[in-house]
Parts: sequence; C-alpha cells; structure tokens
Amino acid sequence: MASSHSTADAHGHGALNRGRLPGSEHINHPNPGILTVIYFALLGLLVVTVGLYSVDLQKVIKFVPGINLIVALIVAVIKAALVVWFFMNVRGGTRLIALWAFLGFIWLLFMGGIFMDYLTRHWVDQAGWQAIQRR
Amino acid sequence: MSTSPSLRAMEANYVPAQAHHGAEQELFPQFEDIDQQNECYVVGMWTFLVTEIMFFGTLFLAYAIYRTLYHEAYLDAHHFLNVFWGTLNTFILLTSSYTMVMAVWAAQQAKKWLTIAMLAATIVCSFGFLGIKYIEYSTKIHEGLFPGYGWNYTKALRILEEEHGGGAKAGGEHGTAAEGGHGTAASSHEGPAAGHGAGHAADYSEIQPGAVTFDRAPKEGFNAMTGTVPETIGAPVLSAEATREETRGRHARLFFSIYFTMTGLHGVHVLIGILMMAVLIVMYLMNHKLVRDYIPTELIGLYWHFVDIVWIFLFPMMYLIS
Amino acid sequence: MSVSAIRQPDAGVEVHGTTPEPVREDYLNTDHSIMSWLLTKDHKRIAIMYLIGITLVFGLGGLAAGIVRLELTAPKGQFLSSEAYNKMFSAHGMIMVFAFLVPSIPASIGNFLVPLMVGARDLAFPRLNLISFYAWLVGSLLMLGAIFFGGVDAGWTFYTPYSSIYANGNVALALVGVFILGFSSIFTGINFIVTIHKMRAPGLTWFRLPLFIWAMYATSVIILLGTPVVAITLLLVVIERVAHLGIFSPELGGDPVLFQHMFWFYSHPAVYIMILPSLGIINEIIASACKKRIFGYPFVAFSSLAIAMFGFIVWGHHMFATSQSMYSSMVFSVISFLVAIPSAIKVFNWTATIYKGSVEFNTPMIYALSFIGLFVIGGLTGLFLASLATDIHLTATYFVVAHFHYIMVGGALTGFLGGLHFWWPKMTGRMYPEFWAKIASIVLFIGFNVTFFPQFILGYIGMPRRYHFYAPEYQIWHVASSIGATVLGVGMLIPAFYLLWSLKYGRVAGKNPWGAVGLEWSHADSPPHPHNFHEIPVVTWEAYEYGNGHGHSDHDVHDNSNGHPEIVTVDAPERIHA
Repeated sequence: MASSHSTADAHGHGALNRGRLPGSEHINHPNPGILTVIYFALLGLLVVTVGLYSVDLQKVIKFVPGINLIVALIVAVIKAALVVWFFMNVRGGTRLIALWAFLGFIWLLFMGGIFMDYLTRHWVDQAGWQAIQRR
Repeated sequence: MSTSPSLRAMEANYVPAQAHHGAEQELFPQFEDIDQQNECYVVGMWTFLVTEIMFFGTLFLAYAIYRTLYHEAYLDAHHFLNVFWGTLNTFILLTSSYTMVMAVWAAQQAKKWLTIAMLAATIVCSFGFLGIKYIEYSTKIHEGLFPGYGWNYTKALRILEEEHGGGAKAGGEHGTAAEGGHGTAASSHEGPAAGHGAGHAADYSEIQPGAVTFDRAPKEGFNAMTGTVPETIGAPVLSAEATREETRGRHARLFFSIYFTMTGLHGVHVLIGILMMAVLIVMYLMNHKLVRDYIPTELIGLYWHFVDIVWIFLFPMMYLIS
Repeated sequence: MSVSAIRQPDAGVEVHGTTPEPVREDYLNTDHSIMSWLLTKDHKRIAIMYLIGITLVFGLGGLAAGIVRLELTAPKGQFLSSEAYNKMFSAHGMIMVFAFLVPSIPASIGNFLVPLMVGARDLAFPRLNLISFYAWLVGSLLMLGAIFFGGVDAGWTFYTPYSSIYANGNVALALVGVFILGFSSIFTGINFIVTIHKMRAPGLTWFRLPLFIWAMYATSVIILLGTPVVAITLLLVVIERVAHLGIFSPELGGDPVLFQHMFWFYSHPAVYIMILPSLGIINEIIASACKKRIFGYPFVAFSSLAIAMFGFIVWGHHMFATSQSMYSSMVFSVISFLVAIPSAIKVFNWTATIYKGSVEFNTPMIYALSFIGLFVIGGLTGLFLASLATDIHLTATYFVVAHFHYIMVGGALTGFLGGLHFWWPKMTGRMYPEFWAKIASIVLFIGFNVTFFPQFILGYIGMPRRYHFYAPEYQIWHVASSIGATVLGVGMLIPAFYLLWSLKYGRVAGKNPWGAVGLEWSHADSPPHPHNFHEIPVVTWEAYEYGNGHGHSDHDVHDNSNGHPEIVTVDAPERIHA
C-alpha cells in the first residue's frame, strides 16, 4: 500500500480538505500526578487483600456466609476498576471506548449461567428422595 | 511525584501537544482524520481485550465451579502456594503497570528517552515476575505438585508438614477445620499418624501413580475397547477413609491443574508483553516512523494493564483461599 | 498497490455488452503480480482470496459428506471400516463448521461489502485483515493435515473425555487448528466492529445503514464474545491431552459436562454467526428484487441484535439429556423458545415486503425465497428440540441432523449462494448466465429437500446420529437421503462451472445491473476501484429508498474525471461517531 500522507491524491483522499469533522470526540490523557496517586492506592489495596487473609471476618460478621471471599472479591474488583478507569484511560476516552471496555466484563455474567446448573443439580436429588420417601 | 495542578488544567494544557503529535503522525489512507484513526486503534485494542476477558473469564468460571464443588480440597491445596511470593509478584506487576502508564505518558509528551527508560523498567519488572514464577514452579514440581507428571501428593504433604511444623499449622487457621471432624489432608497426617500414617503413605504410593493416569486409551482404537472393562473400574476397593483421602488428593490435583493452566497462560501473556515492549524499544531507538506517535505505546500499555488485571484476580483466588 | 499502476479513473463510463474502451482501473486489474495478491491489504482482494479458499475447503467437506451418504446406503455399510466412517463424518463436520461456515459470508462477501456499504475506503485495519486470512489458511491447513494424516474421530464437537483421553488420531493438532481459526474470525470481527462504528460515510446514520451491515455487526459481536470461550475450552482439551493437566477429567472429579457448557456457550451462538449474515443478505436481495423498502426496517435491524443476544443464553438446550440439572434445563428451554420471536419478525417482515412488490424472479430472489421456506422449516423444527419432553426423544437422532442442516445448508449456504449471485457482477464486473443459474438454484432446492427431509422422519422413528450400522427398516430413508445428496451435489457443481465461465465470457455488468440502491451500487464501479470510491459519498437519503422505482445511481455523485477530488465542505449531517 502506497503510504499516503494526508495530502489529497488521485484517489480522492480528501482528508485534509474535509477538515475536522465536528462529530468526532478526541481522547484526553491523564497526568502523572493522578497516576501516581492511583498507584499508591493500588498498593494500599494490595495490603488490604493480604491483610484480609489473616483476619477471619466470619467471626465478626456471622450472618453473611463466605464474607471473606466476598470482601476479597470486592477489593479485587475495586483494584481492577482503578486500573481500567485510570491506567487504561477509559476515563479520558470516548463513549465508544467505555462501551467496549465494560461490555466484556458484563457479558461474562451471562456465562455465569453455568452456575445455574451446578447450584441446582442437588435439588433434583432432594426432590427425588422426597418422592421416594413419600411412597 | 510531581505536585500536580488540577486535572482539568493539565488536560487543557495538553491539547496543543496532542495536536503537535497529530501533525507528525502518519494518517493511513482509509481514515479521514487523526482523531478518527486514534480512536479506531484504541477501540480496536479494547475489542481485542474483550476477547481476552472472555478467554480468561472462562478459566475463572471453571475455577469457581470446582471451588464451589470441592471447597475443602481447594483449602488444603492452596497451602502449598507461597503467599509471600504471590504478594511480591502482585507488587511487582502493579509497579510494572505504573511504569507502563508512565511510559505512555512520556510517549504522549514525545519524551523519547523517558519512554524508553520506563519501558525498560517495565521489562525488568516483568522479568522479575517471571523469575519468581520460575522459583515457584520449580518448587512445586520438585514437591510433586505438577499434575501432569510426577504427581505425588503424599510427598508434597510431608514436605509441607516438615516445613511448617505440625503444631503451628494445626494451631493456625487449620485448627477449626481439623477439630470439626473433616481433618484436612495436611492435618490428617499429624492426628492419626500412629494408627494410619504408615498405611496412608502406602495407600498413596500404590494408588496415586496408578489409579489416576491418562494413558488408558487402548492402542488399537476405540473398537478394541468393546468387551474389556476399563481398568479404573477394576481398581482396588479402599477403606472409606482412604477413599476420602484419595478423593481429596484427586481434587487437589484438579486445583493444581487449574493453577498451572491459569498461571501458565498468564505467564505466556507476560512473555508476549515483554516481546512487544522489546520491539517497541528497538523501534524507538531506530526512530521508526510508527513511534513518531504515542499510539503503539498506548496499545501495548492497554494490553499490559489487562495482564495486570488478570493477576489482580488470580492472586486472591489462588493464594488466599479462606 | 504500486504507485505505477495508478491510472486516471474515468467514472461514469457505463457500457453494456461491450468491453469499455478506456481501461478503467479497478481492484482486479491494478496489478497482476502474485505478490500483489498475497500481500494485499485491499479488503476486496482479501475477500476474493477468502472466497477461493472457502470454496476449496467446501469442496473437501462436501466430498466427505458424499462418502458418508454413500456409506449409509446399506445397513452394514458399503466400504468403510467403522473407524474410517467416524473419521469421515468428523472431517465433514469440522471442515464445514470451522473452516467453511463460520468464515464463509463474513470473511468473503462481508469483507468485500462492509467498507463499500458504509462508504469507507477500506476496513479500519487492513493489515489485520490480511493476518486474518493467513490465520485462516494456517488453521485450515493444520486441521486438514490432522484429518488427512491419521484422521480425527471425535466429531466436530470434541466431547470430553473421549477427545481428551480416549480418542486416537490427531485430535490435539486439529484442535490447535481450530484455535487458530478462532483467531482468524476474531480479527475479522474486530475489523467489522471498528469499521461499522467509526468509518461510516458522513450522513450515514445507523438507521440509514443497509440491514446487511446490521447483521454483520451482530455477527461480529457474537464472534468477539463467543470465539475466545471456545478457544480456551479447546485449548484446555489440548492441555489435558498433551500435558495431562486434567480440567474436565472425571477421574479427578472434573466434570465433562462443564466442557459441554463451555463449548456450547460459543457453539450455539456460532450457529447465529452462520445464519445472521445470510439473514442480512436476504434483506438486500428482497429489497432489490421487490424495489421496496424492507418493511419494518428498525424491527428487522434490532431483531439481528436480539438474536445475537438471545443466542448467548440458550446454550443449555444442547444438554437436556446430560447431567445438567432439570431446573437449569427448564430455564434454557424457555429462553430457547424466545429466539423464535426475532427470527419470526424477520420472516414476517420479508413477507410483508414482498406483498404487492413488483417482484422480479431473478436468481438471487429464487435463492431468497427458498431461503425463507427452508429457514422456516429449520427454525420451527428447532422448537421441537427446545421443548424438554420431545427433546429427550429426539436428542442425538437424525432429527437433530436434519434440523441443523436446514439451518446451516438451507439457511446459511443458500443465503451465501444468493449473495454470491447478487454481488457477483459487483465483484467481477460480469453477469453470470441467468438461465443456468435459475436451473441450478431450483436443482439445489429440490436436492436439498430430498436429502434432508427424510432425515426428519429417520430421526423421529429413532435412528441415532453418527451411527455406522443401523436396522434394515431405516434403509429406505437413508437411500432417499443419499439420492437427494447426489442431486444436491450436482446442483453445487453447476454454479462452480458457470461462475468460472462467466469470469471470461459473461456479459459486462455495468455499475448497477439490478437497479438497486446502496452505496456499493450507486457510488462504486463494477468491479470497484482499489479505493472503492472516487469521492466519499455524503449520504442524505434513507436506506432502501426505492420511492420512484429507480436507484440513486446519480445521487450526489461528484465525478472527478480529471482525478482531482472536489472540495467537499461537510454541510450534510456530520459523521456520527459511536
């Protein structure tokens, strides 16, 4: 492909002629100050993650089963969100970028439907056993 | 760390620099203007990352399903993973993400040597990460924890016991589980050692290598199998407790299969990242026309942050099971 | 393309019947060297290379199908060993699904048309497009290598633990091939998504897009979100087989049904990867043949997206007869019924479009009409399989085989052939012989039905799929099916001959032989210029604007006969991003 600079040529590359299209958004970039802050926030959250491991939250909060796992996952999600939002600059990006950035994470939830199977398999057993016992 | 003026002001200041870049950047013939081209590249990279999310997401899902099914075996097995190395590796990866994002920033500012330095720092970090992974992997393989070849859970349990000392382990987060009646695989060796210890070891040495093998395929094809009973069905019948222990061992093996697959694929992604960053540095040194602009650095940065995110989830899920 | 090949374009020369005197530069004649094809970044040339490639693998897959049909004419088989038979139907399935159907329309016709239809000079990432083709080539060659040198007998579904532990043959190699093919379609998907989002011509809003573009967009979304899942799943099988890291191995407490979950999470949407582009093509053909706007345009457009979305949450209906929980099956059954709604929306809207249209029975329209009929049969028999009770009876019988062949061959392949005929003049600049084309399309329709309708009956009376030997009472239906397959095979060969013939001897088509609207007809030559348009059009009209019975062949065209583009100030609605 003849690498054409943006000057118009015989193929009708009127790039410069068209001028800046008013509808296009452009991408803003973050500054190093905020990135450094985020970096230290991430390190702080890492400390929280490791700290959680040696603390049994179940002793404090009894009524939520698997609270440790839930909190650990929430911390991980916060960390990931910080990376996505600031480091990967979805914040300064266009709406389209944000759409695609989150679509994948959301779509993964659909696949969580697999759990629907594994969590209800034993229901069948129970119902079956009850039917047998009734007989 | 620079004292930053307000973000908005920075971004406002930044616009001329970007325009400056746009003028230098090569505009490919299919695009109308530089903003369109840049957004196309960033969106293109993100759509690719969406596929990566689904790719690793599937593995996480498999992990989560087996963890729900075999929670206790997972709890046992994760003690073989070294939390210190894991934490250190997380720290290293987070740092590499930071240096990467600084490399992108330097590239946007057209600071060539700062970009190269930051990319190099990222590569150093990722080699550190891979080095630690090498240490971890080789330890596991020596202990007999690689599920493919040389799997020997008994040996691994013994090593774990020797390293940590029986009492300390049982007194720690293990205690409740052991008292609760389902002795974890680790503590079962301390408790009933007098009566069972030797017997168990013998059971494992007999069963582990033999019963769980993958070379069962009859050599003459599936047709040859008709009429013969698969050998697994004919395996020796064990006592209830031994069966339970053996099942634990198998589930632990499942855990390590997933562990090695996930960390292995993550490691492959790290390697690819290193390769791309190395190519990028060479291009900067050559003053290649593609790196007149920040977009290549930005795209590799996006990829690298994604690798980081995968590890952010891998670390608590593998190393910190509670 | 080399710069030396640039000649003065002389748009507007439209000659029927004779070769235009001043040779107009197009993407075919711009450079004739082999390397200019192998290293091209022109989406049109890549589309042609894809077209040639998928036609060749289609031939191989069809050959395998022919052998399977021949073998099944006798209850104890004709000449194959059972193992060879297993390998043969596996080869047919793998080649047809992974190497042919998934890339077929998107990578060939779609690749050619997407930039033309959205008014762009090329796809957003031409280099990635070329890489996609080579990924396809490498993946297909690996898969074919695995098939030819030893064979694979695990079926195209590769169910564990058979594929991961017990199966002989080159399963791992074939899986690596499929993995690479996955990358090929991912790259195509990325390209289409970005192109459709970002590279539409000024004024070409989403609801002015041809419905084919909507279909390609929905297809690309499925490709992006589904393909990686099957890639990793198959990779896990490879890892289990080669490195013995058992993920699905029941010996370790792994669940083979988990493989099926993950496999069908992609492979059910993959059916929509095959059918959605066809649905898109049918829109274009019907609108052009009836000279009418597609009835209910927005509903048809959104039904594509709805099919893509529903397609992702129905995978469990492939697993009603496994250990999947009953409650899960019920949910999947209900959602599977929902897929019928957007599909029916399309069919009803086409019917409404045809109603009172001045229908022109050209070859593409015959394909479109047979598509509608076959798609309806295929879709409605799908409902039998979505209901729990009937599915228990019909699972893994020939009923299933007939059902998905009605969708994949009767739907996807018919749409593909229809689209190929419809855009053949645009791609090659020549018309195909109409008489032979009509004969072929009718032969195909008859052959197809004779082949696959008996299989519904076979399945209903209990013949399981993939069986080599069967009870003698099934023979009559098998023979009927095999006779139909012969007719089908002949029907496939006729187009192969006359399309090749038309390349040299066909009538010169001219810019817009159908009088259709759409940027590819009104603003691009046949065959198009290497950069598609002499001037990027500014779109000020709606899709399928057939109001006065003529196309927009002279709508807003800025001829630049002297090779200098006019300066266009963007006064029309601006390019709308995102």
